[in-house]
Amino acid sequence: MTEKHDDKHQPQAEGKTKPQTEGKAVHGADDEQLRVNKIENGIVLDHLPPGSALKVLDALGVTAEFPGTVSILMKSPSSRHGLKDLVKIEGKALGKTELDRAALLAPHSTVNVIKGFKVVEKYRVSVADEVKDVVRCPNNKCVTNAEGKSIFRVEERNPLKLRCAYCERLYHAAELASPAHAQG
Amino acid sequence: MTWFGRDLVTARGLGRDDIEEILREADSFSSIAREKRSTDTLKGKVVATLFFEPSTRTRFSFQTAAMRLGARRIGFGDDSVTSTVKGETLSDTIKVIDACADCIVIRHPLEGAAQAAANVSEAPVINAGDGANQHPTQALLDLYTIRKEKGTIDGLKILMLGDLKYGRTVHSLAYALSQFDDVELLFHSPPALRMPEQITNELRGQIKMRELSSFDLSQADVVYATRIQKERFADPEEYRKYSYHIGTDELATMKTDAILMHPFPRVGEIAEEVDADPRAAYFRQEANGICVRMAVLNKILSRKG
Repeated sequence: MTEKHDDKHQPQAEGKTKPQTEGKAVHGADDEQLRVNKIENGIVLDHLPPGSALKVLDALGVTAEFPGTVSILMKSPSSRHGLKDLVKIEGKALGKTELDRAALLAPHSTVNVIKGFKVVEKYRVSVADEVKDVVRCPNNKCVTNAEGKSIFRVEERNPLKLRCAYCERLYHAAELASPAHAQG
Repeated sequence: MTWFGRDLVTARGLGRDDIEEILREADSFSSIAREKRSTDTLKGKVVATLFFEPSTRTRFSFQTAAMRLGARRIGFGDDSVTSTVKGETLSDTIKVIDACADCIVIRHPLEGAAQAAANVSEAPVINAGDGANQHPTQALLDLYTIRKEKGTIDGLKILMLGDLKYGRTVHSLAYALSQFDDVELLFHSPPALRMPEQITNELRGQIKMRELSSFDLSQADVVYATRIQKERFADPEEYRKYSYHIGTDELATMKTDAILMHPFPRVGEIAEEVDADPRAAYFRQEANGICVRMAVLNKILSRKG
């Protein structure tokens, strides 16, 4: 399987041609299509909500210090969602906690795991009805900031809102996914 | 849902049937509480009252309720006498007490502490106040008082005054009132201490709510006054600007059949000269706490309850 995207401005299919110059997006001369370089090993997060890419990278701890190549496509036309963001991160694997945090920001996104330029795994992220020990409660007075593990329960799916199972406060998912509330 | 063996952590999950069951049970205990008699309904049971922050009324009310039902009680009213000062976690403290008691009543400064206790305790846990979050037995005794004084809860206009942001009693009461028909909540508070949007958003559609732009006691059937703490204001001038006072002049603007409630402590919101007015229901409200907490303890601890 190779990495494929169903949208108009498709990133270049992985594994079909020699990679372009690393880390640069170029416009093809003939079709004006935007090309984003393929990665050898890492992940591609696709179908992110438009404008969310930088927050998703933040949530994943991918900062300026991250050693791998990071490609970001923002507000690209998408047949499925109108507009979408996409990120490619070279040399990154997703742990469960990171995946759960990304899911809070981008609950309908897909993850492509790339190895040797090939998509070896592709799945949709999902937010479980109960999100346990993934992010800390933004309420400083919440008991879970003193001891124990945080638990948030999904109260609304669209827009995604979760309620702390302890202090009962309701949060937008994006608020919880902020790096400030990363589980320490 | 049956009350037997159940935790009472929040008023959010209470349905009208749950509430009515407690109010009926409280009625059956009211003469015992008023006449300072006792029953042996909970003889042999041990109720632990764990107060991790200061409390006079709620702690004594729970203790009295337990003793009037024939239960024994253990506990503390100050966490400086417990192993928490040695760094013991709440979870460990609760597990230890769980081995001793049939029911745990907890007050704690952290929000969600009662839920955390309930998660590790086999014995049912009753929340006696967790930070600014919830105080469900206060809501039940408030409802009991309103019904007893007004004959009904449905259809009333209830004005909440004071600190509606951090006041857990008004949060629990607002949720509980949303289970009744045609109740209207009126709010008046300093701008910085308004009822949290979290709560008003959740209750929208379930109960009518309106913010009053001025201090107007004339529309309400129930005036529910709460304390405004000076510490909430960085500028003492702001506190002076927004603190309020109900004296005889203000009382005169209330409906003649309205009632004035307060969860206590009061620190100047209501003048002592108001106490003699029949509309001043706050001492009766406090006294009702005993039979309501008897009802809660009995329902939770007794299969027959």
